[in-house]
Amino acid sequence: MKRRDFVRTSVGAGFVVATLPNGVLARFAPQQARGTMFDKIWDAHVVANLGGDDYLLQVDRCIGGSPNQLLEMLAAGVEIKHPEMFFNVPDHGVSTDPNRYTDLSLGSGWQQYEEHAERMRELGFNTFGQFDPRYGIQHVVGPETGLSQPGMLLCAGDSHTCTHGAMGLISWGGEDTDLVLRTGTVVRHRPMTMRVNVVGTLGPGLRAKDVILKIIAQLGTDGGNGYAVEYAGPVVRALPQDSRFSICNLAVEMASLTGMVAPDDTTYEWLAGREFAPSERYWDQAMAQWQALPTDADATFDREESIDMSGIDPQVTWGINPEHAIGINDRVPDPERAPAVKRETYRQAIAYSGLTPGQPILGTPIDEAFIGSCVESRISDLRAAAQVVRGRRVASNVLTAWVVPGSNATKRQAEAEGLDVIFKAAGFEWREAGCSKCYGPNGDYVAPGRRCIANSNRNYIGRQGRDTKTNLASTTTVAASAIEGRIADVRNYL
Amino acid sequence: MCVVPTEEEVVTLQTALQFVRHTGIAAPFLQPEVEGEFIAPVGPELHDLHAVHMDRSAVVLDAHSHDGSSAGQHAFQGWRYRVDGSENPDFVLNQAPYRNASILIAGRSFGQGSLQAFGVIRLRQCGMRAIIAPSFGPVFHDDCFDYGLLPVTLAEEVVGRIADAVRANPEVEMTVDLVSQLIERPDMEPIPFQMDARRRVSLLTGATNLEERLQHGDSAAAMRSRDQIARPWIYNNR
Repeated sequence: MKRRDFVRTSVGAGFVVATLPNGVLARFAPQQARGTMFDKIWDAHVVANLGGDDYLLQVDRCIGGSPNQLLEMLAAGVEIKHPEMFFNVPDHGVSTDPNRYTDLSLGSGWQQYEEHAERMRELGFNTFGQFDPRYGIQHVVGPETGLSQPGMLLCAGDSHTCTHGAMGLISWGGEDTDLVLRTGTVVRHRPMTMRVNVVGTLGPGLRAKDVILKIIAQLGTDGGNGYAVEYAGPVVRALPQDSRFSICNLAVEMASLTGMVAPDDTTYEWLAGREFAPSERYWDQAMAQWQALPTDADATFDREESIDMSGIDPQVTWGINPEHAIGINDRVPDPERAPAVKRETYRQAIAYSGLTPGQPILGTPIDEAFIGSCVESRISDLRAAAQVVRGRRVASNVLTAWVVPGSNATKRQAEAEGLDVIFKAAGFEWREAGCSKCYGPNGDYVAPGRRCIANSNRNYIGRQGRDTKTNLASTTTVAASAIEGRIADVRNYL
Repeated sequence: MCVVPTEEEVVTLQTALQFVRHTGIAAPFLQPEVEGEFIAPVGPELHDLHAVHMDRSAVVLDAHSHDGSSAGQHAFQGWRYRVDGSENPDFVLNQAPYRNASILIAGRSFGQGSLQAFGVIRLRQCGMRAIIAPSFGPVFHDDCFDYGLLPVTLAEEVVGRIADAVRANPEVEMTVDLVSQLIERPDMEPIPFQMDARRRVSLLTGATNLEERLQHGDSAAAMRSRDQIARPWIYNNR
């Protein structure tokens, strides 16, 4: 992959988009805008105010527009003006079974998808079906192909669309993509802004997943309700781009509309040379706009939180939502001692989890281990997990241990580095790329009654399958736990 | 800007996605932090939702009571049924008269973390018209307006008071009126509630915001043209 030397790009103070032809005053002139990153991007996308805090906004990228939906709309005479804005990845409907390319009974409806996808491509849509070398989980594929770029407004149906915000853009899920297809716009209530400053020093063996679980444990599953959240501070700044996606992925688990991280050299270096990234022809112009996106020093947020990561232990959930995260050396809480407002949920969580209040979470036996999902299935995640399991074996009481790469490209890269060999030698199953056991689609579910340690994002009752128990943790904590057959401290494997 | 339709206008519309006023049995289900996925568990059971995604008004074509045999039975599946498939008698919607409830009195953060609009659709499919809770998950709350389900936010103490009234006289019907913005029962003082003006109109008329988007089509197109000059690479990066 060709990498542009972005560092050499100089941004002269005189560079503004106002130098456009025909004297057009560009709407997208973030150089001139002031405020938070969220405000700048939001304001640049406003088509109209609909009254109060409701706005009609221009969409730059939309993941969705399923082939069925699209063809029906075309048949009904709807004109779709900018097919290049849309990309479609049927990630929720394709099995990750290693035999998926030969066993046609796996997955659901992919044959029909391929027929329709062909037509979509002719019309100029970006579609990545399971046979496409770029196929994968949509929130891995978007950034990986360079479709998700700083300053954009991106929306989709899937709730973890907030992942893309790590590129320095506004993104959210839960959108009706057929209406976006028709109009290229969305209607939304403008949220308030919140900055979460992640300070301190992250200890050895801790990952972005531990950081975001800690944040949610502290702020609560409702902590971001009504807000767009920018994750900032030295800990976030030091994270590689891959890991910033993990942080933003769980923004929706604290009920925020979206999560964002300001773009910086890490982002630009990561993006340069990708298929849909600006080519050399446009790179400097794009960079000038992107570098003006980060929140200004004098900008104010509606709310600011500061969370210190110094001295925290690896995080693992004990209960039934992502807020139920504790340090690996902590004990399962007692509902009767919980804050009154949490007591009922804690009781339900204890009843479901099969754990006893006061017991250490460390050492809890597990039946399955899952590495995959849109949280941490990128190449750096797989490298870190391989580092832990290299030369070791999955414990005999662990009935299934899976590694599911986030995309075909990630899988190819991992195989080129020999990571698949390490996982397989350790007793993990090396699967095809895509959505998998984090919610039990296409036969990828946890067997009834079992406990699974997973690096995914949701531990709701029955999320991974009927009557299953989920403990969320980082990828490396999952790897270490698979080796020990019980919830383990990854720091013993560094 | 929104023009509030006259009552006569809204009453004559009568679309599936409209909410004007509703009278029915209310069920108290005050469990806090009910995930959207508890309401509509992910899995093959969601396949029938395609038609609803294509045409929102299809949301009620399948409507039936809680023990029916079609899509609505999947709402609250994990609570409604035990692992062996039998009905769970402890679940409130399996108890008379709540089995026929069309108004849910819910707990804090109802529908949090919800996945797309499945939870909302399932509630409509099992006959629910209004949810009264101290707070809602933000995605769930937005989706309610798209599918003609009325979310009413009231202080926790007020919600508790309504739930007490319901428990005292479970067979007494309750009215939720979006025109007067009042919740009324014969055994309770009327309780007023607030509603964002634009959203109130969208429910009163049953209109999706497609019309609104199309109305501003020219502005959107002009903006897009400017954008193609300002950021050409997002349309064609070569």
